[in-house]
Amino acid sequence: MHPRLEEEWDDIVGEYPDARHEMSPERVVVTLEVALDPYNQALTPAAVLVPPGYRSTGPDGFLVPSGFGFSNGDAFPASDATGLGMAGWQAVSFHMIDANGASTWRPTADPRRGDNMIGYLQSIESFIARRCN
Amino acid sequence: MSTIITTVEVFIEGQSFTLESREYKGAELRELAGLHNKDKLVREEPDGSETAIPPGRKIVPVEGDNFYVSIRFRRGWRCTRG
Repeated sequence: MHPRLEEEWDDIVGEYPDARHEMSPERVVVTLEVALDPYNQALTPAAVLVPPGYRSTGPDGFLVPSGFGFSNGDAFPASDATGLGMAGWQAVSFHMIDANGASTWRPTADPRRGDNMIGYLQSIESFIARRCN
Repeated sequence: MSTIITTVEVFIEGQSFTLESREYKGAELRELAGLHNKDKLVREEPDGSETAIPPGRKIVPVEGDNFYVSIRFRRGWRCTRG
């Protein structure tokens, strides 16, 4: 496991008890509760790839299974993740950036302060709860 | 015999709250301010960085802590602070 992720792992599992660490590519997988309206299922796995440069480099996006989307058929803002080594998944480009596109990812040496994987997962939950807005 | 309760003043989404000095879960802080658990509540750190306080995280707020819902993700999105 990536050493920084190892430092954060107990907190991640504390908040997401079913969190799994998987490899090739290295990722964190959790189950998120989502609303059936507007989505087509009430629960979905979500995966975050761990970049080699983590923590300095923040995650580049998250993935959900290819079947996940809006119940009304609207396009889900994602692209096929086969090229990332995740066949059967779709990737959502999702960054901590400002209006000018500059990164606002600010981790600290303390895994419990500043940006970290839990904060990123919380952002995903908020994003999905806001209908991907 | 009297009981002395220590309190701290914190801010959540711009609202002031006087809290008994004890451990709180992130969900309790959200409830105080009428926020949903899906809202990404963060604490502003002295260096300007943000620390996410998920619903299950236990923290002991200190005087002047500033909590707000952070939205600063995806292309073109800005950090907004309540």
